[in-house]
This record gives sequence, C-alpha cells and structure tokens, in this order.
Amino acid sequence: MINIDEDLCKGCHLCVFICYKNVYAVSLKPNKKGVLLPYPKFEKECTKCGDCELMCPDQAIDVDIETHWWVKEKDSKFNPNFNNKKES
Amino acid sequence: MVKELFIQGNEACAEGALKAGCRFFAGYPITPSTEVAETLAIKLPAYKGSFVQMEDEIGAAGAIIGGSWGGSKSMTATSGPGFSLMQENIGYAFMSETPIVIVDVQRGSPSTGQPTMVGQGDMMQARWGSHGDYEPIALSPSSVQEFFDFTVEAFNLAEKFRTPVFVMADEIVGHMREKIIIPDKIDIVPRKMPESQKDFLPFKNNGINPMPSFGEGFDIHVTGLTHDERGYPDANNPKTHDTLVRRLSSKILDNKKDIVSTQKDFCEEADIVVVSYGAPFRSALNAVNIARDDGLKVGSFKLNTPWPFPEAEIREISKNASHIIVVEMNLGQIYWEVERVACSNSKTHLIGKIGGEIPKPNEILAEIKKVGGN
Amino acid sequence: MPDEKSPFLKYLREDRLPTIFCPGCGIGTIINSFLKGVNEAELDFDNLALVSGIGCSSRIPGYIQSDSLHTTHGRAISFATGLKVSNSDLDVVVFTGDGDAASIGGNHLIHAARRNINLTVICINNNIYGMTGGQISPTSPKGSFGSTAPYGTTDNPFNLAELVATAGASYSARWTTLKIHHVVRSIKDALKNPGFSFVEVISQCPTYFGRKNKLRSPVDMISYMKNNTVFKAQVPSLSRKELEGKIIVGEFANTKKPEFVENIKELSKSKSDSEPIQNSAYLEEF
Repeated sequence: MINIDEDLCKGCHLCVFICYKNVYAVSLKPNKKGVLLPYPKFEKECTKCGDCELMCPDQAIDVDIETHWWVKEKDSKFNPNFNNKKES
Repeated sequence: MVKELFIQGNEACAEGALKAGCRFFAGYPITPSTEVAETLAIKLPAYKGSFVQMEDEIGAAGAIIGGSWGGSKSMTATSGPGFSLMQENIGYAFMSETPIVIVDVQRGSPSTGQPTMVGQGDMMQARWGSHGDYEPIALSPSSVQEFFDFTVEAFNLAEKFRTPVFVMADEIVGHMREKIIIPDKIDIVPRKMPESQKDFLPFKNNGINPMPSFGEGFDIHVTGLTHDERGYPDANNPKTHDTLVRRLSSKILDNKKDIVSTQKDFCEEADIVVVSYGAPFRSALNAVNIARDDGLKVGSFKLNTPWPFPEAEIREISKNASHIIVVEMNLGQIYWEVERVACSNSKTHLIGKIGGEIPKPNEILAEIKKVGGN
Repeated sequence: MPDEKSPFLKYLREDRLPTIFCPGCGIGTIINSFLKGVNEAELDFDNLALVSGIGCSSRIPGYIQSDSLHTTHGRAISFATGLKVSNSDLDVVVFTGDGDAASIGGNHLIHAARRNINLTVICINNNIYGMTGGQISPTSPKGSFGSTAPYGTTDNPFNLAELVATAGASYSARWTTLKIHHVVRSIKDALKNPGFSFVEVISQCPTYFGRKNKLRSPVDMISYMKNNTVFKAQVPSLSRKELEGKIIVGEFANTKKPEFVENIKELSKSKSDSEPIQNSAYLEEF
C-alpha cells in the first residue's frame, strides 16, 4: 500500500518521474495548499522497489514492504539505532 | 609542590593553559605569539591532549569551537592580523555560547604593522571586532606571572559564563623572561554536564546553562542563527532575537562584580590617577612611585579586565581625582572609555605611545608634573 | 502493520517539518540516502555529529535527530576537525554545498583532504548559490546563467571529486541525485572508510539553476541530469567533444592511508602512555 502524506508533499512529481512501472498519476485539482498531489492510480502495478520513497525529497511517501531495509525484526517494527540515550 | 620557573611570558601562558585543563590547541604561526603554540606542541601529547596546526587563523578559531563542543577546554593564540581573521568565528562563539580562550599577543598595527614590536591596538577589536551586540571578557597581563594567572582565570571565566574569553597580552609581556611561581593547587572551574536528557533546553532563557558535549545523546543543535531555547533556528521572530541577545549580554553585565578585576595603588587620596593595563603599567607604577617621592598626590589604577569595562570603579576614582592620565600603546582606545565615564568629574589626558616602544617612566612623570601644575 | 509514514521521519526532528527546501530540491533526497547509508553502515545515531556551514545544504543537520553544529560560512570542515580531534569516537559528517565547500571553504577542504582526517564530507553540488538567490558558484558549468552571470559565466568550473582525490583524500566519489542507490552505497562506504571521505552529489535546484537555465521543473532538471551522465569507466572511450557538458560519475579515490587522528593518538600514547582523554573539560582535577 502506498501512502502519501498530504501535509509534507510539495508537489515536485519526482515520484511520477522515477517510477519505472508508472504507478503514479497527478491529480487534476490542487489541494488546500495549492499542490497537485500525485496518487498511486495503478497501484496493482507496484513492485514495491521503494525508489519513490527514497527519492521523495519531503519524506512524504511510505511504501509498505515487509522485506525492506528498515524492517529488522519479524514484527515489522522500525528500529532506529539510538543507543546512548540515558532515558527514553 | 610549588614550582619556581624563569620563563618567557608566552611559555607561562602555555603552562597556565595546561594547569587550567586546556587539552586542545589549534593555531596558526604568527609573531609574536608562536612560543605559545610551540610550547603546547611539545607538552600537550604528554598531558593527554591534542595539538593541531591549522591552515589559517579562521580554521584555528573554528577548530577550537569544534573542540570545545567535543568536550575539551580549547585555546588558540594569535596576534593582530590573525585576530582580525578570527572575528567571524568569535561572533559565532558568542552566539552559540561556546567557552573558548583566545590569546592575542598584540603587536604594532594596523595591518601587518610591526610584527616584532609592541602595541595595544587590538583593544577595541576585542570589544567590537565581530558584528553585533555582545559583551566580551578580556584580561590584560602586565607581567609573566600575570600571564600565567590570567590564562588560568580566562579558562575559569569561560567555563563559568559559557563565553569566549580573550587574554589581551602584548609583545613585551609575551617575550619578557621573569621568575614565576606556580602554586601547588590551582582552582579550576570544570564544565557541567546537564543532568537529564529529558526536556533539556540547551539555550534556556535563564542565565547560564550547563553545556553537554557531542555524542552524549542530547541531540543538541548548535547554530549561529537566532535560535530558540531548544537551539532551533527562529531567525524571523523579533521576540526570539531580542530575548536571546539580551540574555547573552546580561549574563556578563549582571555578573560584572565577579568578573571585573582592578589593581589600585595609592588611589584613595590621589589628585592625579594614572590608568594603565598590560606592559605600560610597569612604567606607570614606576612613575607614580617617583612622583610620590616628590610629594605629589598621585595614584595608579590598573585594569586587569579592560572588558567588561570597570565603569563603577573608574567613576569612584574620578570623584576624588581632578586629573586622570591614561597610558596605552595606541592613539586612544581605552582612553575614550575612561573619558566617557569620568568626564563629568575629572579632566582626562592620554599618553598614547605608538611605534613599538613602551612609554617610559620619565614621559609619564613629565605628564604628571605638567597636569599637576609643577 | 508498518508505520504509515515515511520510514525516514523517525530520524528527523519532526517538529521542524516540512523543510524549508523548495519543491523538488534534491537535498531532501540526499537526507533520505544519508539516513539509509547510516543504517546500512550500522552506525549509532547517538554517535553521529553533523556539522555544516551556511547555505541550503547546510540546513540538513537542523532536521536530523542527532548532535549538530551549524557553523559559519565555509568553515564547517575546520569546526569538524576540532570536533573529531577532541572526541575521536564521534562519527563526524559534514554537509556542505558547492559554494560553501569549494569557494569560501576551499582551503579547509583541501587541507582536510591532505591530512586525511577521518571525516565524511557530503557535498551537495547544485551548481548555484540557492539561499542567496541564484548567483553563479565555482562549479557552475561554463556558459550557464545565474543572477550574477546574466550573460552566461565564462569561468571554468571546479571538478570537486577529482580535486579532493588529488589533494589526498582516501575516498572520493561523485554521483547525481538520480543515481540514488549509488549515493546510498557511496555514503555507506564513506562512513566506513577510516580517512577523509568525500561524496559529491550533483543535485537539482529547479528554483534558481533551473529557472535561469531553461529547466524550470524538477522533472526537467532531473531528466537533463539523466541524459548527461557518463560513468567514469566510459570516459576513455569517449572523445573530448562527446564529453563536453557531461557529468562524470564514479569513484575517484578509494585507498587506505595513515589517518590524522590516529597519528595524534599514537603520539599521545608514546609521550604519556594513554590516548588523549575525552570530555576532559568536565574533570575537576588534572
């Protein structure tokens, strides 16, 4: 499932350009910020390569891939490396 | 064990730095301050410290600020031209509240000037050299012993107030050899690590904050931009800027009593007071002693800390003295500060000697006699 | 069910988002590749110290959840030198731009490379001064336009990755924001390399470089980059004319050399039988 954060997206459409499966399309109406949001029109084509997620300059895209790099444990929990924190 | 040494001023400065806990030095060679770097290059490795010769003075000032955030007391030594190059990073250190010590062994100026001769032309640069409003602390030693003591004091003040401190020495004090006594126990001010990472505000609007070092998990953001209490840039907010810059000034001005240091000799009843700092104090005190032998009511007032300027003390002196003579090796820098404070009570006079020679006692004596009416 | 937000947000100071970067700016992409690179190099985020100078690219440390030092223009590498020498356990990373690193900070850059000090410098090269409004930079291609080059610049540009490799860095590479997996791998290698590591990423600035040079949208810029990229291995087979205006990507240095801070440590060990003490400012006695 592809999720686009409407608050973070600035509408640069690099995701549309980079997707080799042409999953994305651009909406015709601007949202309240005046941004023409991309949306995953052909989501069933998605191979979950994660390139759009890595490319997105505004950290607005999430592609859920259980085998992707940030998933380290079986429960799919995201584990950032923060070790020195005395309290959390 | 108390140590007695017969050493050069610049070497005494290096000894003082090591005693005060300086474990990181970055510098660039410049006459007449090179002996500070040379001595530390020899000694720092044995004291478990690090010495780096940088590519220029701008880099040296940057490296000691980085070194300070890395958790070491850091210092550099330079002279006028290098001090000019450092000014931007000095402003950064004030804004980011980084404790560093900068030793300026002053020489004849402006520009390249007289590399091997003495001058005191950097006093106003220490005050206003970087752009913007800030309150510096500067100490001016007049003997080799004081160069040692004031370097230790500079580190203590820097840590206490989380601010850059200048040691404004001059070529005479830097290159002169004298006996100094290094006491067994020296009071040093250690840096304080904040207690808790939770809700820690590194730039809290509440006087002087404890300073964490990098790598301790505080996730601190240090910037030269106008920043809020968390350290995050907030440059377009007039209120944030006003609060921040006023706090940076008041943390020095409100603690002037703890910082300002002066030395008064025979000032109580004096009609004429000779004000001096650094090497010229030696001549001034000599001239005052001779004049007193001649029966004149003369006193000597020495600024150990030209900055922050001891306004209250000068004002007090001016109530009794009808004449104040300022002796310095420039064409009037501290003189105008004295004039500003004392002009309503006393007449002020300047002996501004340039050319690379110290004002001699007989020149000062002549001025004392001239204004004293004899 | 994984988090529905971008995985990179966990590493960012979320209260500061969205970023100040223009739509389509390559800097955001480089933040992602850096975070991924750190993760692949298996570094600890609490041990990272990010240093930057002035400019768009130098705003990155302010968005990443880690210790960060946002310094004066061009001087980031000198601050980083002090930080690394003072606490050699830190993984010090410098974010810098083309103006910051190559123009005002050129001296610090080549001297840090000469010393081979263990820093990772990520230079985001957008060929223009973005924050001040599109003036030409030392890496602007000959003939490109900027607000201070209204008739096209006649200056020769720097080739930063080659310059740094020649100055003595043990790792140096150049990529574009489009070669994103290469950037990630390069950042990972740079972080792991015990010496001066330089990663130059050619990035798009649609707002200024694009507008001045008829590449108005981010997609225009990035497809221009795609069409003009040549791998370093291809270079010998191409003529000088074919190489004109091309971006040559690849690794320009990857060697092992003695490292600066290790040398300081060795010296300290030989004179005092211990490495330099860390966090010495907090000690009450010496």
